[in-house]
Amino acid sequence: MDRRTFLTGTALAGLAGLLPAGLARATGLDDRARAFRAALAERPWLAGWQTAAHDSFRADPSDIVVEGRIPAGLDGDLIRNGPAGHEVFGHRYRHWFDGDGLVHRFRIADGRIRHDGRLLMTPKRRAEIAAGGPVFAAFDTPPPATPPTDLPDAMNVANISVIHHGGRLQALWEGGSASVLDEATLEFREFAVMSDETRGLPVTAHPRRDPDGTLWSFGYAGYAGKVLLYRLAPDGTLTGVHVIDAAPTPMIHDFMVTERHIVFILTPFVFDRPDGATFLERHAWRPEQGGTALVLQKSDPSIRRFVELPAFWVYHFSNAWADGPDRIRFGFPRYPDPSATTGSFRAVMDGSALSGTFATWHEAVLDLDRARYSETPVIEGPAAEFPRVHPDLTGRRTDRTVMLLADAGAAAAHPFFTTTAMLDGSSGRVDAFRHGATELAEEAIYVPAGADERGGWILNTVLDYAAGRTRLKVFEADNVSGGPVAVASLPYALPLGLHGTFVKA
Amino acid sequence: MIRSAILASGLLATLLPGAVAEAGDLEVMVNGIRDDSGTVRVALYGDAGAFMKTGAETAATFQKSSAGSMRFVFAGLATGTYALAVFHDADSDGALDTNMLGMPTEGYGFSNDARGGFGPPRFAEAAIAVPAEGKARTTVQLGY
Repeated sequence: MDRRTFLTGTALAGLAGLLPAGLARATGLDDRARAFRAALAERPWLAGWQTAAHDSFRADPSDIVVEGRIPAGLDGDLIRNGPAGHEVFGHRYRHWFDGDGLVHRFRIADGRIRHDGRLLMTPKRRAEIAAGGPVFAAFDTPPPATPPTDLPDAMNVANISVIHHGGRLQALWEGGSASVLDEATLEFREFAVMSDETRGLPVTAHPRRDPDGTLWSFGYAGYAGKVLLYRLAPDGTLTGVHVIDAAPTPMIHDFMVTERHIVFILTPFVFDRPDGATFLERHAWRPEQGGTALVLQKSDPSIRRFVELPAFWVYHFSNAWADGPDRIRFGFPRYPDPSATTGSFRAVMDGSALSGTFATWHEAVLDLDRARYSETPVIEGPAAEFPRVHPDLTGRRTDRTVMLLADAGAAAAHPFFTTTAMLDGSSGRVDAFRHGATELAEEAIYVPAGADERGGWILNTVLDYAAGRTRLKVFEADNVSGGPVAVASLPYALPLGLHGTFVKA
Repeated sequence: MIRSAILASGLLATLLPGAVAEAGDLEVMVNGIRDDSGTVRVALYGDAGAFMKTGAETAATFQKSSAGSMRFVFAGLATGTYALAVFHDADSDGALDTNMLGMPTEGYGFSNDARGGFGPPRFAEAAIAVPAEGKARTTVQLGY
């Protein structure tokens, strides 16, 4: 009888992973792992960046405490991803974004919830388990010795987001290929191959899907000075690739798609530092160079327009749409610089003091005719991030954006996101809910009720570090401040993730 | 099975003793070959100017691929420094397949297990000294 068979059917199988993640703790801890544990004892909110307690997770409805009522009609899967294998055999990564991806799923059916998840067994992770230690470079951790290859997919941790497209569930990184997952088990199956000529190329974690089902995606390759634009049909077939010269190439986490245009915001955080020891360290902040909006015509991406921008840093955009024939309007959390990326997101790994600037919510307009950019701060004060809109209105006007705020004025016991807020861009009204003092909020997802922005729900996961529980909260999108209509508490805590998707049943 | 390939010019040197005043051998162990498909190709370069340039090889050879490890020998090389580039030509088309940015999509490696950062290593990093007499050895770990 193998271990899996033995555990199935026991109470343990519901609560714990089928393999001990102690696999990764069998050896001693390195200095960073020890420093983190010491800091965690002082600042328990750092639990958000603990390495995953198990290699896989499973909780049946009987293991999950639900308060309130799951709304009828909300059947489907909330699937999320994020770096969670933060330590490999006692070696702790240097950056939040380095670790192996944990894909997990809340399956909502008939008012009940079950949950499962696993650290993906990518070729990278399989090779490191075989070697008994880290082998490959990460986003911001140098390899322990010269690795057998520096090809992106050899070190692909598939840890940023997840999408269901062309009939396939895929985990997304941004340095290499998308990873096709087994829908039954969530396990890694293979890298997605769009075509021979694009095999192994970088693919963003933030593709955008037109209302007709066309998926626009891109990749950026600083080492080649190129940005790649991909167009995929609703069935997943690659129908177009465009190569854009963009040297020195900035880090580009997200982009925008309108009815007629593709918009890249090229910040001055560029691949321009040959002495850097990691991919992140190869990037230099060059504010004196300013930024550029690169606007491509969708029907012919070789037709390009450029608009000069002030220097700022950005991860995510909410949505973009045409506000007049040659005007593009969008919203985004605007950072003065990328110092959180090089500061706080390392500090949560070694427990040192947080440092870096915060983003504030801005609305912006690109005037293509006059090649002018303008921006307005909309929510002053609290740090904003993780904007999401109605998923079927990409490139069309959307008034509602759900996002997270770190409310500096709140009596939060931690510095992470405290509040989930629905912004109505047409009125400026913010409808917000502050989570519990020991809850760290993760990206909230807008699940529409229909084709327009009326009604619908917000699915929002939080980590309660004091209780050691990850929770799913369900809000009515029309009444976020009214609080969740249902809260489901898992019998375990998961590290904080990044992005997710909702797949309707 | 581990087989050896004798370089054409080395064979010439063996047939015509004295044609090369000083000559050594270079033995290459190629490790990490994924499977038996196609061939494993080894190219030898004699200086930095020739390194990785098609047609500028000092010598080149190949054998049918054998999963795991394979041994190649370049015999009768003039004293000097050399660098090797190896790839697993899984589809037997004679070329290292790449994607549209030039990244290899077949297994590849270099002498000294040298690696570049986001590109091939420099000649000096992959360079092996071949003595006047006797044998130099190197290993090449293929990466995919």
